[in-house]
Amino acid sequence: MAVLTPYGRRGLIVGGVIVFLGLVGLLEAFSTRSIINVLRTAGGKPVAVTLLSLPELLALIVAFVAVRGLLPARPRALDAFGAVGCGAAASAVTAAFVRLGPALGAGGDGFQLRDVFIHATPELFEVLGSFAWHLPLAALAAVAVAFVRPDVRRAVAAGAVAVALVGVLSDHVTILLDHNGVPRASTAWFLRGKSLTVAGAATLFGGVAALRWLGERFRPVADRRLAARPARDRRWLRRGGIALAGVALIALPRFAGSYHSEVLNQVGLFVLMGLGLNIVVGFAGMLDLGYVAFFALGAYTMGVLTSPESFLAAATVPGGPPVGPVGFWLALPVCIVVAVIAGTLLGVPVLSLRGDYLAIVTLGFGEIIRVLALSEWLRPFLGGSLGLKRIPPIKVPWLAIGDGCAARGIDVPLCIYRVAIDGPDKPQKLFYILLAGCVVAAFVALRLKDSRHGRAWMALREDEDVAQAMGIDLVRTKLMAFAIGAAFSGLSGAIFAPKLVSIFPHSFNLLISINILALIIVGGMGSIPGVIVGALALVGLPELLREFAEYRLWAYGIVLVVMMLYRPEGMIPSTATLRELRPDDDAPPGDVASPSPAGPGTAVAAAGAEARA
Amino acid sequence: MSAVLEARHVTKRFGGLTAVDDMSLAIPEGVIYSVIGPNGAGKTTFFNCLTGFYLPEEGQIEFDGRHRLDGRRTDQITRLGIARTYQNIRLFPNLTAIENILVGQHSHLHASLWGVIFRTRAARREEAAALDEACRLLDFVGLSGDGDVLAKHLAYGDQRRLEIARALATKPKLLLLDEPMAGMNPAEKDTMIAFIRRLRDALGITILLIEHDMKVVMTISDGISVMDFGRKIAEGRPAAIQRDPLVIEAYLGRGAVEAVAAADGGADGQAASGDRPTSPDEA
Amino acid sequence: MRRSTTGEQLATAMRWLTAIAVVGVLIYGPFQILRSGKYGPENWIAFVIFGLSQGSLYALIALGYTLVYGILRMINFAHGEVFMSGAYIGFFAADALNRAGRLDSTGGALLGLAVITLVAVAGSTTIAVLLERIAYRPLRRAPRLVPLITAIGASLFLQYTFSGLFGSGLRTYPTIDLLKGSFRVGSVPILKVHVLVFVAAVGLMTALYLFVQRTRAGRAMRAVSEDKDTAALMGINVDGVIVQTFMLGGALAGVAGVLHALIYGQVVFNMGFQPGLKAFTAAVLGGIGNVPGAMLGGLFLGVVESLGPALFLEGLGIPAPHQLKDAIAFSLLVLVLVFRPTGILGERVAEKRA
Repeated sequence: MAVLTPYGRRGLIVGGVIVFLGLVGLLEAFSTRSIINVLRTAGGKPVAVTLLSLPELLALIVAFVAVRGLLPARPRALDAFGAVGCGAAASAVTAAFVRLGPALGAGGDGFQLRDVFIHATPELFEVLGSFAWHLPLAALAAVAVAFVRPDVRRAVAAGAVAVALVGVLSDHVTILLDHNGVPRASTAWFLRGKSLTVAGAATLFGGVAALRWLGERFRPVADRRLAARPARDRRWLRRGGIALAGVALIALPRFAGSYHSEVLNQVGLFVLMGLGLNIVVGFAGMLDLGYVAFFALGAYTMGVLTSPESFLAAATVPGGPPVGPVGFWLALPVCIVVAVIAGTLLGVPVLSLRGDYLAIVTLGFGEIIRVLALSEWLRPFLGGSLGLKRIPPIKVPWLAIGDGCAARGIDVPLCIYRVAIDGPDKPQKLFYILLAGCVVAAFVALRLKDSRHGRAWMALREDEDVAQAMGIDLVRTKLMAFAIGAAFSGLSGAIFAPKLVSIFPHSFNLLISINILALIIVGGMGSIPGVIVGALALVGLPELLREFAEYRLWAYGIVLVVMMLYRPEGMIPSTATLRELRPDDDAPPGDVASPSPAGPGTAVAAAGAEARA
Repeated sequence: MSAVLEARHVTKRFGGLTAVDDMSLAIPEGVIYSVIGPNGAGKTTFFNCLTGFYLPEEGQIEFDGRHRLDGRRTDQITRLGIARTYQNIRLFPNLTAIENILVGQHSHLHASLWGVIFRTRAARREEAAALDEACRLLDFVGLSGDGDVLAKHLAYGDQRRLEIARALATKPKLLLLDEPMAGMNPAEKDTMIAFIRRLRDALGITILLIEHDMKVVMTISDGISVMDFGRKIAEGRPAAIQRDPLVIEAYLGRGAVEAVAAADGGADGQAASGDRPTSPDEA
Repeated sequence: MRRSTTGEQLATAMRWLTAIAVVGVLIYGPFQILRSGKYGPENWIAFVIFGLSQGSLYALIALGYTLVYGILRMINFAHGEVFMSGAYIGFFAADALNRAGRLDSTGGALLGLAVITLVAVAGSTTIAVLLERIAYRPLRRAPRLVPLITAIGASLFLQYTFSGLFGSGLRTYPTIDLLKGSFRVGSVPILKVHVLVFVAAVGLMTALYLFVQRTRAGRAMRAVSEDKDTAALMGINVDGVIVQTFMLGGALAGVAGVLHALIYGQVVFNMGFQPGLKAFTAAVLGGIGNVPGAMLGGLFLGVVESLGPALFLEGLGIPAPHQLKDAIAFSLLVLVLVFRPTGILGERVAEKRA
């Protein structure tokens, strides 16, 4: 009997968590979405009925994870019984809440549960009431999964994740398919309305699971074959891969359409900033929480220089004409220089500060900049709470994209596809600018990482005093990290300003700094592919899931805590972070893009020995 | 022979405690010089004063006859040609052995930001040369196959040698070794003794050593200073130090001095300090 | 003798410039504003009193930061949310009592305040303990960045949990007649709530100080602050002491929450962020890990924030200087950290062993 108590306890907790998710409003918000639906006939007409809704999926996941954590590697019958009991307990809790909730509210003086918990609505009770048999089912699934081989398990997990993701994002999939001219009729077997059909879900599940399983099975073989080939071949393969990725990226906006290009632009801005913060935090180990300050400086400088409404444009040299606004490309270097100077200046006071203090002081700087931008005092220069307006869009005069170029009378050397780039400001154009910026930033970061500067930063991060004893000038090294990081952020801000046309102080708040920090941590600190993955997950995904924007920061909080507890090295950690945080693992796969500076040390040593021999 | 390092009346206080008291020292070039003394005598603190980690309250430190060290920052001192290792090994734990050594070369690498980003020929050449040098140093300390191993995964003795390799990467003229033999067995100590000698002979580096093992000290040193309570109580060649009553008292107390004086009497002899060295004079 | 690099020269130049600018502002600003006579003595006293009251709140919250930093070497970024939770949960008690009409009589109001405070403290303490248990304890030996990130995540989580559960709108505290109105000292009116806040804060802070210095439990806390492992060897239940520390900090923050709500009358889910940040500034100002320092730092910061805009900035001709109040607070933080990094009263954090 004692064996069952933990199950019972866990079940109560699971039930509590689900009720909590309901009270927070998540379940209600999710109830508008379904993952899989079926066609049923109602009154003679075919009607799409939800088979698996998002709240149900969430509850299933919670119960599954909770039970999985409790099960031993080889569950016995007793465990299975316990697991079911756990699920039942959870269901009991939700059922009890559904029963008691409305009753609690019926007290005198018009007091309702809803006065305290605003989401304790009839809809919530309805949703919760539907979980009766989901939770024990999930528990059983957890037991069943324990008997499956690990590789099959991973494949199944991948398939499930794919179904969940595509199901939730199915409206986006539909938009993309439409944009690319895929007739609705041909996808009707797969997608219906805002969710997957049973057939679609099954195919997706099976396909992804199979791919994952096959990939895992043949990866070692492929790796071995690759390692066996001479380095020169590997280099060519690598270049080929990069070229392919390049082509794909260039073609991407064509297939993504305007809306999704806009999403990619958001991601791009954050990737750019993430790459910069990655240098400060990931390489040099200095926690900068005021990073948004440089973003703001870049944006405001661009605004002041290019907006016809700014004070600079109206300013006159005595006896002469007004200075007038400057073009984007001329203003861009100025923005970067301003950011670099700011980075150096703001870095000076924090040179001797310890990690936590450094974080708070930099946070303070970010807030000071925001307050100054908002202030009445600086309103003549920065526009105060009304911000800067009429920032002109970026012109790329020598590039037009569109085979309709000739028809529109646009005479340019390069015509790629249907979007005319210098027409109305299209997100696709900005995508290329951001892509260029990110490529430059990633390139610089990569080169720096494997250089003496990168090593100095890493030494700084590991042990400041000893680094100094190695002849590293701490002041210069730290300031350089700040300055380069600030440059990337300033660049991002400079592109942000014309994108938005009008900029306001409230766009430059602490949450952006936290956002960037979160994405480099979730993606993997110190790792350049990690920044991209982090941005896609923490910026791209929320953009696609706009309707749940209310819960975005809440989800961030949970993700940050959970990641720190279970996977602090991030999703694609750099080799250095992996070593630091998982000291017991052997040679980590880490990220391929940044090999250690010595490459295979033994090989080099051998080559060196050979050369000397 | 000019003095590579000359410390004059160096004093370091921490609040009410005088850790280093009027310490003066002159180390000629190309020797192996040891600073010994009981625990808490102020040896490591003195080292820290030499490397700029602490700012002495009084005194001057002169390097190579022309550079004043006191008041300089650590990285400046390193660039002048002084390197050190630490009592508790302080490698960069999450960098590989090769990376640790490469960091040591930092002050001798001059690639600019531009050069690094655009991989100019000069930058590439410098990087390749640095790698080559790092491998050589790795070989020199006997860690040839371990270039890619994380510093924290190396065996203790290997870590010590890596730390020395890293210090050598800074191309020092004077090398400060803080208890390099700590935790080693006799065989390892012998290897280390030979190694330190090689540093002096093959690379022409002057070595300043803090060490507790008397056998090692007496074997290897050309000159010894003895510290106690922050002050220098004796200085000279190993043989003289062994017989110095102040030294014996510092290590073993007054009673031992009398006991030795009574039992000993002779000129040749057995020392009474620390471990008994069997071959006191090999300098 | 000592050659400094360009970086160091830049740093020194900046230090001098900043010092000169600060001294200039400190002298010229007040000179101008006092000369203009725009504010009379009653105004200045009002500023100071308001500052002391606000500062008392900062001090109470700062104590939580300083205690936790002393013991765990980490900034409990989510402490501002502990403060908020106290205020918010106290609201429900206040609301319930108000609906039941219990707050109308004087006796009822007093009893009601006690109940509200108790409920608020229970809530805030629970949240603090849960934070420690779930988010911080597993990460005790992790590199320093990790608990900081966790704290940020916990802060976001708590804020938006409250927003999700209870709504993102303002909740208004019922007005308590007992607390309305002001005392008169000479010609200066002092709001009753301000007095309450100040007295309560000073009382609690004194109690805490005595607790830490004079009691066995307090000694255990100080021991764990110095050296966790050795304290464990002395038979001290380190985990228990840490939980106690969080409880203390949480309780004080809860009281601060209720007091804040009594002054401003409203609670909202994100009310904890700014005060939390300011309170941490105050803790650093006074010297982190230093209990009297947190108190002093809090009061000092409150007064500077209140007086600052009028006294220093307005004299310089800056319009709407109260907008820059936050900038003053953070500038103060930077200045203190640059010119006196150990804070006004000095740090009491155990030295890192070299």
